[in-house]
Amino acid sequence: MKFNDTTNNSGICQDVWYLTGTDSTSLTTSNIARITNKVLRELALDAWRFSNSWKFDDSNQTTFATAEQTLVNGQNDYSLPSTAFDVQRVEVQDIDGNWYVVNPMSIDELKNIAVDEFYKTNGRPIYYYIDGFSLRLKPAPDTTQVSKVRLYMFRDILEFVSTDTDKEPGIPAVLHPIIPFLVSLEYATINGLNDKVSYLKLKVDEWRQRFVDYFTQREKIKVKFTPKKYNFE
Amino acid sequence: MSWDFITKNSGSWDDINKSDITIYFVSESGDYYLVGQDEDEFLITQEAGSGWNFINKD
Repeated sequence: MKFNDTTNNSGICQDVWYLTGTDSTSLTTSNIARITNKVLRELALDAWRFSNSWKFDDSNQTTFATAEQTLVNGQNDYSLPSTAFDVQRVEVQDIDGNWYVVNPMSIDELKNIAVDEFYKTNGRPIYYYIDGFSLRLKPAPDTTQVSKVRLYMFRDILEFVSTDTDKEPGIPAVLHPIIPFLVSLEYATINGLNDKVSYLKLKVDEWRQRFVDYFTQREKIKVKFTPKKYNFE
Repeated sequence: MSWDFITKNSGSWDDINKSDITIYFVSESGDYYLVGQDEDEFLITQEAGSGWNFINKD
């Protein structure tokens, strides 16, 4: 579902205008883009919450939700990418190009040792924890042993702007209809369109259940072909 | 230092066309046939009292 499809009249904007009885003058594409970005963030958080091994990332992204940077000798803290909202996995690369998992830990587990004394000597990081918006590595890297850190994360959606036309939401296309319902519900509620709110609320509830069902079930729904031998003699 | 995101490959998928094949199940003079698109006929044999043929386990 495109954002604004004036050719086929089938975009998010067209559906919102239809559902709310508005038009491009009374409800501008700028306002629709702003509300759409809010509801997409709600949906991205729900997708993060309910997804299983197939993790969610905005399909408009041209990069993976994986980022890396060069380690600095003795530096144990690295600011997370500004778009990250959860860390899935951390790895470090040694100077020979081999990658190693860095295990998550909590400083609450350090009962009898101070944080600064735990793995005090620089080396290949074995553990990490997240401190606010920073990645903390234990031990701090020794760059004669390791060179890079890689982060697998969940990150923010890519926003719509008012002039978008063909751009589509970065969630699976089968779920696109939820967006105009959510956008329209917010507009109708704020503007007292009481004759429309109950219907929109009903449709939003239906689609939200489908959304949750989809993200909890996808990747589990598989057709498996298992080769077997039979003797027909 | 800043993070470098790892670039995705941007290859596209080619959709596979559906095959439009019709197979008819035909009865004639007590025999049953499967008739394919090219009018190939496959007689479905009836073995009196043959019962079930069990498939051997490996």
